[in-house]
Amino acid sequence: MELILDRLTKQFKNKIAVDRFSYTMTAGVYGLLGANGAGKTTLMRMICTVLNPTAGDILFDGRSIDVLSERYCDILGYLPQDFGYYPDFSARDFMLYMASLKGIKNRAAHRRTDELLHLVGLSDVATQKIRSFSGGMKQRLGIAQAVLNDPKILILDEPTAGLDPKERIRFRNLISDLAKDKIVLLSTHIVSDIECIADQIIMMKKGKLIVSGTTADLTEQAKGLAWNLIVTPNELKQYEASYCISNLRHTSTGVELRIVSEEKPAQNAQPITATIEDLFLYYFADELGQTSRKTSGGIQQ
Amino acid sequence: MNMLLRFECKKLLNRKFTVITIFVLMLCIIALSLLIISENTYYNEDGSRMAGAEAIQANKASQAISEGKLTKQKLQEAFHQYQTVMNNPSNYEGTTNDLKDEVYVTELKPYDNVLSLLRRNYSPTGHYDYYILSSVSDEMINQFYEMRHAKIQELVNMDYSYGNYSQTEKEFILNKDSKIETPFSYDYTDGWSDILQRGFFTVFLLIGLAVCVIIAPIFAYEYQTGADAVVLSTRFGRKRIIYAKILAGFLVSSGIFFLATAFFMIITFAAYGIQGWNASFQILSFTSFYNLTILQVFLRGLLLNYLIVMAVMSITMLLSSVCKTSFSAVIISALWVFVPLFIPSSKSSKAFNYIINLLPAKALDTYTVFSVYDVYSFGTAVISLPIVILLFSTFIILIALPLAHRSFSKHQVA
Repeated sequence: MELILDRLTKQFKNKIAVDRFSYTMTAGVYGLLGANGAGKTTLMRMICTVLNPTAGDILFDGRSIDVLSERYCDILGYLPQDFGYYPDFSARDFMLYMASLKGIKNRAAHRRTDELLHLVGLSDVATQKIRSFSGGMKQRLGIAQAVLNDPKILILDEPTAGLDPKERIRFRNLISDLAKDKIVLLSTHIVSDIECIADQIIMMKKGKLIVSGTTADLTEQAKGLAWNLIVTPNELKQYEASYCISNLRHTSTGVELRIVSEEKPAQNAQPITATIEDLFLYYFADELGQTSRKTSGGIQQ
Repeated sequence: MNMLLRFECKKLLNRKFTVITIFVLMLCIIALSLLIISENTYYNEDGSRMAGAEAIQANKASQAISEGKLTKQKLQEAFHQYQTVMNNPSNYEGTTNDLKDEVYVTELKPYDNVLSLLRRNYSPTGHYDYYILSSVSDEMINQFYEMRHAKIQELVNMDYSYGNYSQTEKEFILNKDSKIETPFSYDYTDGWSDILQRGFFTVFLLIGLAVCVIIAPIFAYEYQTGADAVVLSTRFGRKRIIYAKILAGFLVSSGIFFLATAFFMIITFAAYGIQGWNASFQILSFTSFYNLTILQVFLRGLLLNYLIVMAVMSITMLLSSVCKTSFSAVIISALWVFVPLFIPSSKSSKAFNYIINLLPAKALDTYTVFSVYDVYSFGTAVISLPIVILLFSTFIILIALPLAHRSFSKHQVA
């Protein structure tokens, strides 16, 4: 099972949302990381056939998804970023409706609906209208409908957005359970979510693939980028202006900074083990309102 | 498909707005029916007034004398009765020209509708002269049907500011008129008159509006809720769902159409009965050139109006597939239905009038559609207005639905 994205491009008027994106996925969980506006959602929409690419191809097992058409949709499960639902439908009716859209026969649809509602912990509220559900319940319903047809390709766009920590953990575990023998692509800007469940991490910036690899690969790449430094409160502003600071903590000896930088920010800065989050900040500091690694000029000691 | 269809119907019918719309539609139909029924009046010999169902029964009994074929003998009988009554000075109130109430009610009222047909026939074309019968002769009464045909000849040969009839159009109309079965079949037709002239148009216009409101979300709701992304990524999300939606639209719209029509007919038939169904349509619309009974016009009107409502539904579906929200689809669709109501006929352009004729606000008026002389020429072929409405509505359905299908199936979630 192989999903190939071949120079996938999407242009909206003057803006290129996805720019010649090429990547190959086999069974496993792929975490798509990027700042807001990086093109993650656009990329996922193209994979899910709800948005036509301006250029490039998507191939499943060597065949274009345009040719596969309905057969491709048949092996696809999709949870969009803003999961749309019918407020007047009950969870059960919504699942049965989605099952009929996915071509699941009546009896199997009922059985699968019961199984999945149980799996996502919505059995007790199956007959309640979706409008009465909390954000977490709606997301769980979203994932349940996405896997109704036991898809080979599961696309989850920001599945943990808006969930509280407990719901997020529950959701991550749910995705891990459902991911067996599937290509699962999930996007988020919460790095810890991806670190926990993704086999491969893909970072995207301004529509382009900038880096990809396993958590270990990327951690290795991030080596030498993270520094620990204790400064006085007076020096803090200078460092904030010059470096990308991933964390700061006021202590009795001063302000302890975690700095992401290619160069040693100060003589007394100590190298520390970098994380995926550090690497994320390294690439996206400019887009997140932090001082870019490229503009860092160092501090006069 | 069955489950998909069931859910699509449920999506349309489960909305609060749908329930309110159907409820308001039914209320309007009840109010309209009761208003029409209540406006029936009958004056007794003593001048006292009856109204509503009671008046309907009295009118029915009063007109029974003229039932059957409207032969020359029957026309003469009515005419002579009129002459006898009018020529007797003792029938008048004092020295006035007003007949005594009891004389009118007992002597003339039973012939009122037949006398009205005579007045229409002998009045100058384009006018209705109440006193014309004083200058009519027995010979003219014997020529009733010939003179009616001559009147229609006169109508088609007149000069009109918006353009005259071509020779083929004249021949078409006159040929059709000459085929009208004579003598006319006469019966009590007040109920059918109220149904066709007053209720029909309003009821179907309301049904059209209700269909606009109920069908407008059929595609737009997917965009509004954001469910389009999920739906379009599924196996049947770009084909079968659209067929299910279209079928659901037809089923729901048809259901509303027949439910509301049945509601209106049950109330009106309960008050008037079905008497008069076999009468010639010319009893209601004297110069109509269609050889049809009232029931035939009613059934044809029902079929035409069903097609028009389905065309309204199809346009609404197309708008729903194109517009971002169901609100904008409702507004545009309702404008298409209602605006022509307020457009007056052109005094200079026949083509303009002929186009306006085909829009719902005009085409739903069955009585007028089967009364006017608007015929459409395509080369040497001449087609009557009801047929053109039928073809046009079918054409709209056949164009709008594939376009709606195309629009939704090509929809991009951006």
